[in-house]
Amino acid sequence: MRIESDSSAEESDGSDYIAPDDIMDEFVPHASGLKRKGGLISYKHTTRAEEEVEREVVKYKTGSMKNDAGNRPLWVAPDGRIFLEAFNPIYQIAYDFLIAVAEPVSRPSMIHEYRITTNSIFAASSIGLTIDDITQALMKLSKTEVPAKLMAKIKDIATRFRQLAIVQREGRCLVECQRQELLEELIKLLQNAPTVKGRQRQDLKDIFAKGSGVVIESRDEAEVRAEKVGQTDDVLDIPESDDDDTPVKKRTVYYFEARQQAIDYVKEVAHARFPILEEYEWHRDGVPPIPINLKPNVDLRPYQEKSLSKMFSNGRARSGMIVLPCGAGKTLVGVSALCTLKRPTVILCTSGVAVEQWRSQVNLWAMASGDDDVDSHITRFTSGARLPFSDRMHKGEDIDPVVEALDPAYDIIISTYNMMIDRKGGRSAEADQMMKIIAARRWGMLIMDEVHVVASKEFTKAVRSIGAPCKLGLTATLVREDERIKQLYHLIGPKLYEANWLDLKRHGYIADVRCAEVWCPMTAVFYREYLRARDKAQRKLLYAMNPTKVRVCDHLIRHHEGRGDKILVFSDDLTPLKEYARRLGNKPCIHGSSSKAERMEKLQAFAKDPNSNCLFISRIGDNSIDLPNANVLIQISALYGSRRQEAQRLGRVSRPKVPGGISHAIFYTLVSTDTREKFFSSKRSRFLRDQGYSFKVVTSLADRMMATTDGVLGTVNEQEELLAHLKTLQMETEEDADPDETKMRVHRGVARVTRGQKRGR
Amino acid sequence: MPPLAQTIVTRLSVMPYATPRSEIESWSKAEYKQLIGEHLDLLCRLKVLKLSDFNYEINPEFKETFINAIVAVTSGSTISKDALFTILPGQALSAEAEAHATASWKRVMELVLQANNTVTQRSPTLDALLKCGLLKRANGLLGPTSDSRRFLLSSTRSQVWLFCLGYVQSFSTDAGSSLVLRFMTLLFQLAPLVPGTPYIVSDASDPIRSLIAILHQAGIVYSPTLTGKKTPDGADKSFAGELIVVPTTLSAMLSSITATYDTVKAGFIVVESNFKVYAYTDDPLHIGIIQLFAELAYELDGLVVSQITPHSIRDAFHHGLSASDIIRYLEAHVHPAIFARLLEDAKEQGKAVASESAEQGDRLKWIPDTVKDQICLWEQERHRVKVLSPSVRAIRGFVSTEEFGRLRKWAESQGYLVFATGEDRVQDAVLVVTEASFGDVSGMIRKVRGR
Repeated sequence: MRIESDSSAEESDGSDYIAPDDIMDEFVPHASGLKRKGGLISYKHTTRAEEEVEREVVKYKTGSMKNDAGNRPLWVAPDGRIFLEAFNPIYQIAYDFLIAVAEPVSRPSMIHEYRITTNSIFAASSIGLTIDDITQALMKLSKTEVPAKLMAKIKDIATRFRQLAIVQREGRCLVECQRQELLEELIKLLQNAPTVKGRQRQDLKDIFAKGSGVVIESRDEAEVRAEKVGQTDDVLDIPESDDDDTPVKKRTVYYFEARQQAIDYVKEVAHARFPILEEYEWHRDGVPPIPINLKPNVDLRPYQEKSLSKMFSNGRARSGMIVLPCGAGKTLVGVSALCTLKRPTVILCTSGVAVEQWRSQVNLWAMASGDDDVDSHITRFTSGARLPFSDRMHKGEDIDPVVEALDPAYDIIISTYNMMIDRKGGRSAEADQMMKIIAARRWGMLIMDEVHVVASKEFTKAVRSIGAPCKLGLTATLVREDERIKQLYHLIGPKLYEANWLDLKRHGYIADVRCAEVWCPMTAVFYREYLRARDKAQRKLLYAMNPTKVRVCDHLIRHHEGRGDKILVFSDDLTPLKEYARRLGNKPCIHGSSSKAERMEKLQAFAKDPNSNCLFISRIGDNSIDLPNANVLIQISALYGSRRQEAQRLGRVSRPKVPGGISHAIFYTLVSTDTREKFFSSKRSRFLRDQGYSFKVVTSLADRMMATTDGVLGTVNEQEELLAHLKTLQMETEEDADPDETKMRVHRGVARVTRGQKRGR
Repeated sequence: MPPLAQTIVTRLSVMPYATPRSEIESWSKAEYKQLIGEHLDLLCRLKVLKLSDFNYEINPEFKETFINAIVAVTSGSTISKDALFTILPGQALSAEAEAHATASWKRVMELVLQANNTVTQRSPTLDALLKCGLLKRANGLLGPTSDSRRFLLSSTRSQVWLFCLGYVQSFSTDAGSSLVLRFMTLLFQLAPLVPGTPYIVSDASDPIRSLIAILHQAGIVYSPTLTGKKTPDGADKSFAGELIVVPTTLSAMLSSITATYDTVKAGFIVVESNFKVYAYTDDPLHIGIIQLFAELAYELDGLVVSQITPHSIRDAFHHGLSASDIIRYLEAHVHPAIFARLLEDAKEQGKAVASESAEQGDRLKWIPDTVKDQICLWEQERHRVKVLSPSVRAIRGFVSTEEFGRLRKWAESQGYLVFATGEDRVQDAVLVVTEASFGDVSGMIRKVRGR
């Protein structure tokens, strides 16, 4: 039986290729130079032509600025890039506006960059901004004339919004639109849709219900409205006003009929040009509310209020994602949403530990009305947990899912993404039964914690199977090294809110984390071996186990233990993790194969015991492990160039230490110089740099370590012994939950190594 | 030196004793007390005066040379035989001179910046720049020298000095090496003159006239007579035909530490910790200079966005810039908003940082530490690998492992071996031997193969 290994539910991003998404980012501060130099350390597989396009200078000069340009905070470039002066008198107004209509690119101290994208305009429209709102605010805030081309593009995108609806009627599936030309455009899109990776192009015959010919039919809208009543469940797009007393205008609606099976495909293709809005009028859905409220003493912070206000308005709940930095109280936003909606909810998170933390947070912030205990409405569904029907089932009782689903114990289900995946034969009878109960119930909301992991095929399928009208994704880092983040926009919805890390830091909502990149030169013994190593994993092991690094780590642990700090040491790979923990004084260490009890015990000890001040932890600690008292983090090995992992790890120490006050934490990342780790490290830190964090490079520590032979691994002999020991070991890496991606990565890895060898000659 | 300072120095140089401040102040009306104080401070900073126990004393060395100089002038010694400057009665020409200085100096910078293997029409300024070594001509094309980029990133004061010294020194190899002394004398004569005041230059020899013409072209001085005007407006007609020179802020920079002059008065650059450089400018000259060390991304009205990358910085190093050149340039042009933000942050945290420097009126030099450190680290990286003349030779291309093994053993026994690697794969095998033994080793290889 599998014991709680679901915490390794991790996408395997960050392997050493750069996804198309990155090509959009024209600023690749560290990587770009390496890449352009070609030769030795070229990882970017773009052609020269592509690079040059990327590098073209965007020039937009109107020749004159407005008279009061100093009071206006924006520059708008024709490619949708926006520059915002953070020191401008009306910065706050501009910020509130930009966060609604554009994606933040970088937000350091003085000048912020945003970018207008199709998705961002979609998101703006979904919170009720009209084309005029957007264009007029842009014109007002900009120092110069706004490029006409960009304005036209925004208008074009915004007019497509709310145009398309997918309606289920009498068992037929109709794709409707009020404008015939848009419908024709969609058909053309479907005909020419590019092949999506890992999927055959859909034959047109499979899309359209009526044979090969596409028939666009039309009818009167008044008729449509009458039919829609009572079947809102399947309507993805609800017309603007449903008030019965407004006079019904007669408008023609055009539609074609699609096959039921092809509907997801149509949605996916349509999304790029015709954003589909999902709104949920929960007051009218007829689902009995669950008696749950926020406790009166709960005090939401301004940014939490703001993000919730984007989600709920006009009595409707919008599906989408809320992006808050780690430690800024995402869980509370989730619990508040739950208490606002008061509908049966499924909460999915990444690990069993996170399930426990969600449960305790719901109990902490929410209360049930009457004598009820909130906990009695919660069911934890993890592979080890006992389910409400377990006993009865073991007694041989028949469990009817439809009847069972009525039990209030299933009002809130907290589970992991892994449990939702149907592995062939991997699910116990109990779990099967539970899935039937989930399927039998009507859900109001689905909360997805760490939503960036959802972007993988199997999870996607699982999420669709729950079928909640309102989906809320929570994350700190909406970045992935592969292109799948884009899928989240049509799977879940637009980004509803994203907080500014630096602002929260300034107000003391998250800790002020100092980042240091500690350079550790490879020792001679290890570097010789590194240069000879042919295998990627072997090299990784060598730079992770670099004796200088071990010594620096030892020094840092001693130093911070001496100051009474709480230290977390992160390693992505298990071999180094175990070796470090053993060699640096047998420190406690948890990883994917530690049992849940062992994990909880060690985490508890770290949180409470004044003598347990240092904990070694693997990839499982990246997400949602809540250790508020940790204030020093040392990273010894990481997942290639994953920006997301770096930010998530920083989040482990960014919870404020003194409530309300400014507090400090330190994030060390140890990097073996002259190895590929250095390249990855600069790529990893990019996200955080763009959030305004600065990484101080520390070279003196390693110099001091190199100058003496005292302490652990000080002599060449000891280092050679270590090397000999390592050769007997295999590199252990945590199991990846997503076999597809693992395969992809292995494949790419091999391809890359061979290329590298060719170049080396 | 301003006239008031000159007066103070002249008087003090003949004072037999250290003079108390009150006495110096009594030389003029009470309302100039503060002004005199300022000048005294300035003179102390120049180390011309020394303050001890509230008494001012003139630097004895300065005093000696100063008196000598005065005596020499009056006794007709060689020192300023080349030219004599006398104030032209009439109104000052400050505005006109400054406009000329700004425009001409900008032209100098543009010439240096744009010289990128291009053909440019000859001009006196261009010739001067070629003489200075700030530009070079190869195969008829104009190109930058190793000094050009450093020149562009320097402060205006350094630039003026680089230009003048470079030009003057170009004569040291010629037959007229005595010109160097005469030219330097002229520069030193020029330096303390008051900017904006027209002077008549009398007794100027031809080389001196040509130097003044060059200085005029560069905007270091302004000569209305060289621009074609006979005499400045409103000046006495009786001076017609004389060479008239108006010193500018640029010439004052040759000596004064207070004369500041920048093509932009306020800072305009914001450097962020993510290595982005935002420059509030439309000036192609600024854009060109920033491009020397950063990659341009956006050019908008009044804003230029660029990115410092390892590549752009290495390029800059390659073209003769150093990390400190770049950092100094960025620091010298920090946007005032940064300063305001720092003060605000300091206030919020209850710290009294930076307020001191604000009082002193110094421009706060601030760019993110990470950027500074990283630029320096990139520079250090360049010095990690040193190329020495070869003292060893590497031999590859062995035909078999056996051959490699045998040669390796032999070289070792002879004491020639430095390093050997690749026992397991013959393709990777490398044998490194001392340079001196290379002949012997290759002989041995021939012998082994010959068999």
